[in-house]
Amino acid sequence: MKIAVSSKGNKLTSQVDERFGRCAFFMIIEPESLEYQAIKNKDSEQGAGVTAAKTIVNAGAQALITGSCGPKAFMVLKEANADVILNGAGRVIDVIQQYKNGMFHKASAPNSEGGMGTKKEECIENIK
Amino acid sequence: MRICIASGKGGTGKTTIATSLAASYGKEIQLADCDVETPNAGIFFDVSDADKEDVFLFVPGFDNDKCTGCKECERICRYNALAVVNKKVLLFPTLCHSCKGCLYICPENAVYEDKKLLGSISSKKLDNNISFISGDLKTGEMASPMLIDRVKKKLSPKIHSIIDSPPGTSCPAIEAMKDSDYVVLVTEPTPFGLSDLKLAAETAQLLGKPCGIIINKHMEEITMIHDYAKESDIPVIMEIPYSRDLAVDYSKGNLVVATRSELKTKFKETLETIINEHAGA
Amino acid sequence: MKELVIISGKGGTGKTCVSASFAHLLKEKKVLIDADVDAANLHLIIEPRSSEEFSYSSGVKAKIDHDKCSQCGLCIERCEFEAISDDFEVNSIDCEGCGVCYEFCPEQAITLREEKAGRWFISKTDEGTMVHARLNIGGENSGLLINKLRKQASTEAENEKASFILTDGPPGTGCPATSSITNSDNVLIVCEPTQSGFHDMKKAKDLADFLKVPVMVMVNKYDLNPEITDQIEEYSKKSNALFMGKVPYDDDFPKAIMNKTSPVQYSDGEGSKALKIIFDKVMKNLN
Repeated sequence: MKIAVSSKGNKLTSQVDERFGRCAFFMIIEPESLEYQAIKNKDSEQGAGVTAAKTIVNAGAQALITGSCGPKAFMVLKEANADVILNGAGRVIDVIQQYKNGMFHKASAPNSEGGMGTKKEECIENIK
Repeated sequence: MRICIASGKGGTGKTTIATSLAASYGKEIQLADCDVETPNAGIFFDVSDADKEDVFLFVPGFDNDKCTGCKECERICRYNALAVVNKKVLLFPTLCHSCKGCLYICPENAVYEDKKLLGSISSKKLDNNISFISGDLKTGEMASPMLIDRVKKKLSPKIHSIIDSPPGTSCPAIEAMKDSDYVVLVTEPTPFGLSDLKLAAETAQLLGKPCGIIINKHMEEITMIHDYAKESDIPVIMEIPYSRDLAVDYSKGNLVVATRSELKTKFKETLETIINEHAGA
Repeated sequence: MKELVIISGKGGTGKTCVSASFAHLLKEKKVLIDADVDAANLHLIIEPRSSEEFSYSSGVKAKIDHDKCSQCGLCIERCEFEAISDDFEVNSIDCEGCGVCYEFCPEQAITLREEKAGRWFISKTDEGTMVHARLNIGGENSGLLINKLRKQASTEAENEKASFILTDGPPGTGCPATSSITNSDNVLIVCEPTQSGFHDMKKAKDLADFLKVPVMVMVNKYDLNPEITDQIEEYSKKSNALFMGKVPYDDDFPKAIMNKTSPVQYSDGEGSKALKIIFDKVMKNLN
């Protein structure tokens, strides 16, 4: 199962980037073998959280470790049945180790207010 | 004729001037408050029983039965307002720019027209011959220009209008200015006022609008605005001397021309001059 | 790292005076942000000694190749922003860059060009590094530009081992103000004691509340209307904001600006004294 970590750099020894939507790199890691892929985050305009969530889901991640995650990203990840682990800090390799040791619990709500156009908005599924 | 009251800098007196011009004219006139994020013009009148109508913008709706999860809608959306996960389309309404790209692109016809609340428009015919219209953007929505456009569409072309514009030179200010016939540039005689006046003047000139400067809180000994006006060939059409008294009145939400007949006459004359020189141009 | 964003709701209440003064009073190493990218003013008081300049692009604009265009009119029909004229010219001010015309043109006659939307700067000043910008006229996405400035300021602060980021915020309560405040630790709302000012202050407070950023409030030029000043103070207390104090109207403030310096450097008058007291209180109450 692959795990995504928001990172400031593209190595396992890089520091966890506490923001998800606008982090520098998405590290997609296979925790057993420690094989990984570093995806550079394109600095998108609005909806950075949405794009970030889509990026890691498309890369096959089924869990995310980050510092804080806004409501839009959270909704996308929830829909994709990906676990979200918040308040991760330290080096990427450290949080992977903590994950393997069962030290995290999954978040049930986002812990950040997110960026543009976030206030008072709800994600609408708009299904007829 | 449409007269836009603009300024680069906030707090120079746009609303004071817009409301004063409208209240001094004496004949039928329309006053549109297009500062939709923080509309203030209504403070100076009794707008208690104004008609209020909600304004909506298109957002897409998705028929889950028809959706195959092809992600074409997600692809075409340049605003990241859509996320397709497991054949389900998630919409983030405040990111949606209402371009309808998703509606047109869906190969399965699974997208239909739905709407989101953008804000509201209030209108009232006031006592002093003023037809007052004001836009109020819903908190969290970012599409001020769209609401400003709707406010302007309510204006009758047969009656002169005064448009109280948002500050700045970015897209909301441009929207308020762009189909005006004349732009009043409101400034104050300070370094910030001058710096921002230059930006506003550049904007008006970029849009090809004739313009004139009104100096608010004017002090005789400070000539920076007049110097700039001369250099850039923009007329100073009125000066309102700094007056603490006036500032106090404004602070209370009082129409400053209601108790100052000389000032009222000055405003009336300024407006008539603008109309005589530029209407039908 | 401590952060403070200074906003107002209404323009013209004195944010930049307060920001410049606070910048001067802050003895620790700090990075400054002028987030009013539409009409930046802080650099007029805190003058850059040197600047690095960067280009900022945002979004795209459509362009129609008339050689390929068959004038079928589909683009005009579908443009929700009325940006294409009857003679198939795209008005770049009205064009939102949504890409719909580009996507559906049967002749593929439309291209999307990246739009240079402004410039941003990293400047060295007497009060430390300042990050600021100039959005081009008609610019959109100022929120994104502000995000960029904040990101850059964080980087600069880390590199310089600065412990404070001070932001002179934009007016209004829309996307620029949102981008300035979101995910920050403290907001100070500078109000003026007028009906309009009070009205807009409430909107600014609502914005900060929704973004879950704690709010401090101060009143500038309070003696213009002591009654409304009291109302603002009461409102702050009732709505869980910290009331930091009030500054009387002082001629020295505009004089200071004329002299390209902050009020607290210019004089020790009543206004300056009151502002210094507020500064101390704000510093004590920072999260």
